[in-house]
Amino acid sequence: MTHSTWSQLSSQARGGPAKGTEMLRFKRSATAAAPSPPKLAKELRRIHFRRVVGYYLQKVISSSSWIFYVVGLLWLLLLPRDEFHHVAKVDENALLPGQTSKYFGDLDLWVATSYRDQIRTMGDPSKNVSGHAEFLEQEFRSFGLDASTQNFLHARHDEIVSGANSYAVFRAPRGDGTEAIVISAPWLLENGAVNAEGVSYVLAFAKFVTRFSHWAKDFIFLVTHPSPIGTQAWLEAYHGVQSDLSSWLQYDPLDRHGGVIHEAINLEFDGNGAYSAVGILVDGLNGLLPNADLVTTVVRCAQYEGLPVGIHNVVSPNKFDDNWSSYFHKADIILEYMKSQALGVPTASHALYARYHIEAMTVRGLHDVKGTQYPITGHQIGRAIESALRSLNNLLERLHHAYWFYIMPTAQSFIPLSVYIPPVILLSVTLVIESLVMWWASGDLHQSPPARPNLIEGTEVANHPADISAFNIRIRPLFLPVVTLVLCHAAGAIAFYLAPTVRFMALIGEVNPFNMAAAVVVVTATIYSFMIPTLQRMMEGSGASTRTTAPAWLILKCLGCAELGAALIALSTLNPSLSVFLAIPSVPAFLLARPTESHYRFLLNVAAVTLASPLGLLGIMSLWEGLDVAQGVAGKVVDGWTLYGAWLLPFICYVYWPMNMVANVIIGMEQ
Amino acid sequence: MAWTNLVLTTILGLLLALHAAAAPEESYDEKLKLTQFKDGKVLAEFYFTRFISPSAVKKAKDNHYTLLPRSIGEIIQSFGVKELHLTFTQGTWNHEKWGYSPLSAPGGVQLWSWFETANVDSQWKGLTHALAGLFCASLNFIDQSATAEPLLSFRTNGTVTSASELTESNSPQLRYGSLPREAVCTENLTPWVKLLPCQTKAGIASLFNAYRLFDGNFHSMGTHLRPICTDAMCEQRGIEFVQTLAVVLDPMRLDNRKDWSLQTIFERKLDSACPVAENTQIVVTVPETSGFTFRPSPPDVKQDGKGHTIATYPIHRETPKNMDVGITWSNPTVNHTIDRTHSYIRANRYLTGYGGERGGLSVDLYNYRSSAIPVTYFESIPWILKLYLHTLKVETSVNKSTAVVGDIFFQPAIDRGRPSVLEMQLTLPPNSTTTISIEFDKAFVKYTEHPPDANRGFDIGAAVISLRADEGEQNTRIYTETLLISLPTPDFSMPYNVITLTCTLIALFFGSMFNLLTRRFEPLTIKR
Repeated sequence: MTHSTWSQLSSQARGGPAKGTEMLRFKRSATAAAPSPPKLAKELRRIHFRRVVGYYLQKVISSSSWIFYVVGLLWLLLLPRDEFHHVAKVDENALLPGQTSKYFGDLDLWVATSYRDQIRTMGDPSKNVSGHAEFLEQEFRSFGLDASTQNFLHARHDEIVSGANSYAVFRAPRGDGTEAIVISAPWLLENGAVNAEGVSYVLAFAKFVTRFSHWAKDFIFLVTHPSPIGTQAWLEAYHGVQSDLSSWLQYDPLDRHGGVIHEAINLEFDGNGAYSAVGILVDGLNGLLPNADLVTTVVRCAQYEGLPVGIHNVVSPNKFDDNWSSYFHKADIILEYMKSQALGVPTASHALYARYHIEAMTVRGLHDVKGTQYPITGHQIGRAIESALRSLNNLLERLHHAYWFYIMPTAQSFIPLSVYIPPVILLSVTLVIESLVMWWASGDLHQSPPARPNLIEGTEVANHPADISAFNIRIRPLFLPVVTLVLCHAAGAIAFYLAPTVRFMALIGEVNPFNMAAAVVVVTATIYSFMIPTLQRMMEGSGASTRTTAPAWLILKCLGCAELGAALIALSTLNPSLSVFLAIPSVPAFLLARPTESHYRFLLNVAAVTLASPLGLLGIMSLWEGLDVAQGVAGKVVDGWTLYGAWLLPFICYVYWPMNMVANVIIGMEQ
Repeated sequence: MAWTNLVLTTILGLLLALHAAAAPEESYDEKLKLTQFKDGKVLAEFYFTRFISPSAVKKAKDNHYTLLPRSIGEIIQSFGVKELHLTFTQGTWNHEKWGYSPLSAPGGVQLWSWFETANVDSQWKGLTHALAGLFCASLNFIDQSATAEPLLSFRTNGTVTSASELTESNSPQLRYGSLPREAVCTENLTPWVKLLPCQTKAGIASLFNAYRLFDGNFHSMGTHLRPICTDAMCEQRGIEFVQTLAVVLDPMRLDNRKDWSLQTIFERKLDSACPVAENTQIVVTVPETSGFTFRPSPPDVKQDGKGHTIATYPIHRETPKNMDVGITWSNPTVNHTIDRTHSYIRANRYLTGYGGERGGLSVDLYNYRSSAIPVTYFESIPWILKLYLHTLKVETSVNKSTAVVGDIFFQPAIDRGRPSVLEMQLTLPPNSTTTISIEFDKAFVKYTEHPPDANRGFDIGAAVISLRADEGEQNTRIYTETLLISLPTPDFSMPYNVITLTCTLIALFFGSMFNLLTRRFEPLTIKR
């Protein structure tokens, strides 16, 4: 058999659209031996078998793509079970957490306490920015460190806020000054309280480290105000990013540098004392996580000092009454963890370090945590921090052994990438398969399994199979779907450019969120119900299918599913939590979306798509957690983009929302 | 017996006469300068100076000298070295608080040498290898790809050539190389100490206590060789061989007090002078004029007019054993302020940008004086950073019309062949900040070119800023920070595992096969 015949046969065996095939001929080349009829029959059977398998596979896949979604969902529900959790171990041998003798003693604690009292009596610090910076710089200088202050301006909505970061570099006595560790604290906490103890620990450690020669890395002590925008200004200046005159943030360049920053620890302890546990915050901007070794080291060091460690303000008990209480406890933490990661806006100063390949986390003091018994002492906190710094000081290289992708059900355990990524992918892979199904559905009209080929006895000619015909192959209309996609993306882009303005208007109170939502709904409804059908008529006639043209919605849905599916899968490698939270509502909405005669089906489709839209998600959130929370989240997402470059807003506006509009258009199209 | 006595006396007399004649030919001095800074830290500078006169050089047979070690003599002779400066340094010299010292050096190893020979490159290679062996250091890693030839920065300290010798063919040539990563420790100190005539048995070197020397904030040991003219026309040249050791110790950290003595900072006392040394002295400098007491009280105290008090202690053979020198303060507070009249220039070099593909290098040069200062900036950057010359920018904070940049010399790198060299003559405007910046791409190096600790990164050696010397003064050099740059790094763990597993398998296989092949299986006949 020649090569051309082979390809012809196999192209038909794949069930693809065969063009202009009327007869299956087996040509015999002059040199090749004639295939004997039994051999030929066998070859035909084989090809037929392939086609039949292909046909039934298509059928099964077409009717059951939703199974992937269900399996993914069930798998996600299994994640809180202990069988999926790994106990966190330190992979980098050099860290040896808790194995050094600690020197943080009474005198150092006394230094910290007296600084705390002094900082508390400094009154309302938010009004006196340069005052606190001057004080800190002077204190750092008195320890013999290279101290300086960076001033910055920050345009915030309708006012300009000036800020100041004080920082000091401790040069390691024996080191060559190439590597550095940052110990930072915001001057004010997120709730407006003075971070009196956090700053006092920074000062106490600045004094403490000068007493020893065993440090191999530089330490940079940093107090930012206001935070986290101050951290942003400092980090940008440290890495030589030139401040743009027109930007939201302008800052002075730094006149002191340490080495390359490898790790950073941010301390948040409001000055109220009486902590019952320390909490850790790990997720950074866009849900980027620090290396698991950093987290494990800090947690281990705290535990060696007898500190209970909590994540998301919860300390997990060692033992649970029964499996279900363990399950719900961990499910709660995982949900909080994923929510925080999905949002991807900075939760504390540590979040901004990730972009510069700096492993960073926040340690904060927690009050009144359930499951803890004794108040913890400043001694323990100081020694835990010292112990962690000693471990990091031991490092010869960047942290690179452990995971960067994990979900933490407790502070001491994690779910590795290999366990949690399959359900995340399964959720979105449904859409990719649906896209394939749509392509098949739009292309040909096979309704029956392929017929057995009939070889005419004694000849090289087979009877023409009845199901291969030019009349059951359809033309796929591409123009309308592509125009729709482009228009929807353009609408998303407009929403993206309007977002900061809308945010500003909402902040100064000129817009009621209800009115705004209603306006968006009315405008989109007008577009969907009036403009799209008109456009379709203008471009395609009715846009409905004929015997020779597939309906436009099939192609549109095919393209839409492919784009959203691919986007969500790509997203799952960067921010799996966001991928999950977007896939759960949008995948069923997309699967259901199709033009329909039935009113109930139509209403169901519209409801599913509307709920999956960004506005619908905000609506669900406001029902669930209150309108304030939803408004706050919307504001944070916009600010996250304008101030810190968190790409949740662009992703929603450029990919997710346009795809949601596409789903809406599909419902409104003609069959 | 009388005649034997006579012969002995004659021989002794002759020897003495020879010795008397030799004494001016080769001389040796020891000097220890102890300087306390305002922040309480104590800088101890050890100078071991040997001078070999031209006649001694001529007389030396097979490199046998009286005081110069043979290994050094061989280096001078076989590699055509005219002048050589080699420093091993750990820690960073704080120019702001400690001022400018000729003993300040960049971290790691720095080597520069003037040659007067035909084929400099092969001689340089030989020199680095010889020094690597001599000082137990990986100096042999200064190959062609790490060697630079500065045009303006490293002028000769000695008198290399007289005017008559300055011809095109035979002009001396300079080579410069540095190893910023070299960790300096006792294994480098030991061979260095062995070059001293009294080693650590006597003299100021008996204070060397490795535990304390390597516990300081800065530690640098140098080996310097330079020619010195002995007559006005420079017809005759002798050799000066100086070994220096500078260490900055912190009494505040050791004892939490500003008071110090040799005993507290070195845990050693001075027993005796080195008998070979003609001149041994200890000089103590204090940055105050009152409020302290020298112990013991020195025979010679003077003020230098800049607010310093200088005490000199000559050490002789008669000096009592267990001599201790120190200072007691009546006011224990330390002062961390920076004196801008003494440290009027500051440099701050840092990397800009982030990510694995490209980056930038910036240097801020601060001039705190109210007069313009001419400086020479020198930078030798390994080929792994592909510099873009068009991105080179020099900006100054004041008076933008002033011409800041004079001559620029730039040599582009060749991959694995030579480094990029940037040398600029700058005039820093008064009270200004001048920023030099340049951008680069990071090379994607072969996996075998990564160091064993690949995820640490590559070190970029310090830049050198030379202040143009006033008449009769030595060149002052300021060294910037060493930088650490991470290139795109592959994950080395997988190859590592494969290699380990494969090696284990091969070892097991080889062992059993070897056993089978070498053992003979034969029936034994046991004789009764």
